Parts: sequence; C-alpha cells; structure tokens
Amino acid sequence: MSERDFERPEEWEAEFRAMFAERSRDVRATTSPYRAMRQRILEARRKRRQRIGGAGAALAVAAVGLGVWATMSGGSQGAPPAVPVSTSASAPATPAKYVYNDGRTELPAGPLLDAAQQYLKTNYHGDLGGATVVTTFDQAMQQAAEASKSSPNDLGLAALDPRTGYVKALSGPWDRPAQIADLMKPITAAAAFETGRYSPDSNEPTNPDKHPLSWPDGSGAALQYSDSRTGQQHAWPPESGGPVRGDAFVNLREAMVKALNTPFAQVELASDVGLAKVYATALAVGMPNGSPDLLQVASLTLGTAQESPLTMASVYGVFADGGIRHDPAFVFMVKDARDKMVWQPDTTGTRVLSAHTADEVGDMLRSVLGTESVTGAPSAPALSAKGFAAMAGTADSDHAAWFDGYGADLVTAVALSRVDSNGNAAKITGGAEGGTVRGGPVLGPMWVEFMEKFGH
Amino acid sequence: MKAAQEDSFREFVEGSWHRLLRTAYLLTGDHGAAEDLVQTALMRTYKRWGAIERGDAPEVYVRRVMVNLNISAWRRRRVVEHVVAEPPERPEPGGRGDYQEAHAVRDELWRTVLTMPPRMRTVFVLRYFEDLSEAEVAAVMGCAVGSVKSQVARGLARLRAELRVEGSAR
Repeated sequence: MSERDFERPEEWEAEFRAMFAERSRDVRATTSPYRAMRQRILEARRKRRQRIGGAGAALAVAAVGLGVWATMSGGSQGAPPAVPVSTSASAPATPAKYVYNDGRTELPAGPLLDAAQQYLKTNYHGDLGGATVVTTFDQAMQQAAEASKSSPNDLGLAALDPRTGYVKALSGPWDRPAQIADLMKPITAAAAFETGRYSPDSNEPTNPDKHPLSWPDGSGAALQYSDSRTGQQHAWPPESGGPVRGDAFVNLREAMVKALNTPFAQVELASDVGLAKVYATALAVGMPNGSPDLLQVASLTLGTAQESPLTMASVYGVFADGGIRHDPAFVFMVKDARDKMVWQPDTTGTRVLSAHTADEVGDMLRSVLGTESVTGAPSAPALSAKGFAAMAGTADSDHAAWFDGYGADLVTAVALSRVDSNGNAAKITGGAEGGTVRGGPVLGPMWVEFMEKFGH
Repeated sequence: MKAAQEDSFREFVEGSWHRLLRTAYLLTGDHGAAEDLVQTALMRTYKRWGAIERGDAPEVYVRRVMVNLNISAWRRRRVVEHVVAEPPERPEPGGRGDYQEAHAVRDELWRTVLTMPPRMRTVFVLRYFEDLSEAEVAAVMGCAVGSVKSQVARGLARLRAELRVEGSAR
C-alpha cells in the first residue's frame, strides 16, 4: 500500500467515492419503512394525547379547588358530567370474527385460522374487540388444496397472489422446510443475469472433469465428491445420471429444462458472478436468513437449503411480479364493529431483481413447463403457451420432491416430504418402479390441474 | 394531517428511504443507529410536511436534519465508542492481486472515516457519497465554504499519516 501516497487529488477522490459506494451497499434492506414510521408517529401521538389528557384533568381538579363543583355529591373525581366516554370503553370485548376473502364465510378452527391469528398478532397491534378480520384465503382454492393428498407422503401446498403476497390457500405441511433441490437453479440464474453478463443463451460446460471447478477461486484444488455407494472420487458437482462423458456445452435454458447441475455450478463459481452474489440473491428474493442449511457454500446452487412451500411460493412470486418481492400476507383487512375498515397490511413490495432478469428467468421456466417429458401432463405445454412457468425439483436420496410455478395472478408451490415419529426427515416413497420420487411426473399433473382451475 | 398529505408523505418515505438509509449508515457507521437516525429525521419532517412538501426538495431538508441530528447526538454522548477495526467479510476473494490491493485501500479508508470526528466525516460523506459541491455541503451543514475545504484537507492529512504508520509497520 505504500506506493499509494494519495498525492494526486483525483486519485483519492475516486478511491473515496468507490469506498463509500461499496460500503453503502452493506445497508440492510428494510421491507416496509413506512409501516415502521407509521408506528412511531402513532406512538408519538399517543404520548401527546396522554400529556394533553393529563393537563385537562389537572384543570378539572383546580376547578374543584375553586369550589365550582364543591357542592356536587362524590365530586372528588371531578369529571364534568358531560363526558360519558369511559363507560363504552370498558364494555366486554367481543372476540374478532375471522372470515374467508368473500367477507362472509367464517373460517373453521384449524391451522388456517391459527396462521391468520399469528400473522395479525405480529403485524397489527390495534383493538380487535367486535372486529371482523377478512383473511386473504379463497374458500374454493382452499378446498381444492385440502382435497389433494399423496399418502403415505405429506403433500404441502401454498398458493398466493404474486402481485400482492395475499395467501390464497395453504394445506398439508405448508410451513415444513424441505430440501429445495432444483428449485434453486432459477435463483442462481437470476444472480448471473443481474450482472448483465449472462442470458438464457449463455453456453456452459456439462463435464466437470474437463472443466474443473474450484473454490475459493484461485485456490487451484478442484472440488470433488465421493460417490456414497462406490466410494470413488469424482469431479464436483454430481449429476443425477452419474458422471458425464464427453465435453458438451449447453445453454442455460436447456440446462434448466434438463435440471443439470454442472452448468449452474459453473455460473455460481464464475469470477464474474460468485458464491456471495448467489447467496445474497437467495436472501433478497425471500429465503429467510438462518433457514436450515442455507449456507454460503459451493453446494448452495444444488439446493441443499431447506425451505417451506410457503417460502418457495413467495420466492417464485418475485419472478412472476417482474422482480418485486411481496411478503406473504394472511389478512386482507380488519373491520371494526361498525363495519368500517381500520387496517390493511402494506403490500407495496420491494424491487429485488431487475424486471429484465425476472423476465429472462420466467422465459426459461416457461420452457421447462412447455417440455412434456418434465411434467408428464399433456396439457402443460398449452399452459406454458399461455404464459405460465414452472420448475420441478427432485432432492437427493428421496428427501423431497417439488413443483413450483406461476401464472400472472397465482403462484403455487407443492412439495412432498415426510417425517418419522420423532419429527426427523424421512424418505418419501412412490417413485416410478421403486425409483427416485421425481417432482415433475409425481407433482406436475396435480399442479397443472390446480393452475388450470384457478390461475389466469 | 389530510389524507392526501399522508399519502404523499408515505410515497416520499418509501421512495427515499433506501437512499437516506445509506447516507445515514455512512454517517453513523452502525446499522441500528442509521435506521434510528433516518426515522428521527423523518419524524421531524412529518411534523412540518405541509410546508416542506410545497418546497421542491424534501430530501434536501431531511438530509440537513439528519446531518445536524447526528452531529449533536455525537456531542451529547458520554461514552467513547471503540471503533473495532473489523476485517470486512470477504467471502469472495477476487483472486487478482490488484483487486485485493484496491480492497485493502478501501478498507483502510473506511476505518479512517470511522475514527473521524462527526463534522469531518459528514463533509466526506456529503462530498464523495452524495456528490455535493463544496458550496452545497456548506449549505447543508450551515457553515462556511472555507471550513468545508479545511475539513477535507485535515481529513486527508490524517489519512496520509495513518497510511504511513501502516506502511512502516510492515
């Protein structure tokens, strides 16, 4: 550093500018600044009212001292009779009524009601006595979701509106984290597209033997994995079809359709993208920091992280809404006893990807849905032609299977997972001819049916 | 406050929040303090929003409030913070020598900025992050252009001294 003596002004000025620009990017994103402001403003108002109220009481007491009301019986409280406010405030509170989005049908007790109550508890701090809580849930969609089962595995489903984050239906273990597997690939692609140096047509190698990957970059040692059955060492990353022969290149679109690991691993560890960027993108699109196995390691792009169906629906919602992220909302509005709207969640959302990136990812996911061999559903290509997009995921060793995708107004994620009696993850079953349970053929047809019925 | 004003305030908060937060972070060097600073400045703005909104640049107003709040908060505090020279998280080594060199220099700059007294630090942030001219910086801080210039000069002298110490230690 000694050779940099900062004698020339323009040199250090540029250095300061670069440093500040770099540092300012460390700032944590706040999802809803206005909501936080609003709370503070209301708090300040409440304090002010208390002060004014206090002053009013002091005046009344002073008046009593002057003897104006001295003759009144029990006048020690001193309140002028013209203020009967206190009686209505102490009336017993009627519990709030929770209804479906139609505004009429009451929500039955169960996980859906619990979820809405929990959401309101964290987001709304006002009075709920006699209130009607209109939730975001759609009764028809909810019934269809609850009807879909996949015994003996657990089928978790989450459907929401990508334009607002309004949750439409939740069934099964919709909040149980499971290995997301191939669902991570669009996020790796998004990180690459954000740099402006990649597109769905970018070619990447398929054989890690011929194009070894290393991390940290420049360390020289090629990444390897050992095959759990044979114990042999192979060049990382593994592919579900076993080690690749030849030296073919594919573009990222084809790699997405075939769910190949190597091309996305190449992108993830490329010096102009990098692991940090992929990790940051995963957090930005809504995978919660601290999710199980969501780590800044090379296998991040293989989808080793575990996320819930609700999270994955909202993550793919970012692609559906042109790069804007909306936090899932369970409540549409709160109405008071006189049917007046008193609260609605903020659904503005935050831009986390450029619209261009979101479109390019969507374009690739339309190709995935349009490939009949992926879903095994004959009507999937027609849905893709209408603009629907999706990705299928198959986790290693039968830990989970996924199908996640969207149309313009609905994003639905379905996942198969299973836990044993101790609550530990167990293997799912039901693959064709006893083979791996693959997300596409196992979940694709039911996803297609659900979206044909409710999506646009 | 009228509903229309409330709406325009909301729009303003949502539109300018991130920019303000970045500046606040550079001014305070701390995530929590930055958020608090922006919120307090916006609270003041909210009280006078009717008048401020009619002026053409509410953001200029908020920035000025933020700068003054931060300087007086620093004056009021008793405990001297220990600036921990945290090595930045760098999970992505560039591999190329010149990149790492550039990074080391920037890290050094940031650490120097963190140890600067608040007026000096404010001058640097406004001048080189917000890209204000010397005259604009003086206007925001309510001081003479000459003191802006002298703060920059002293800041640089400090930086040179620090770099020299670093250099000789190696």
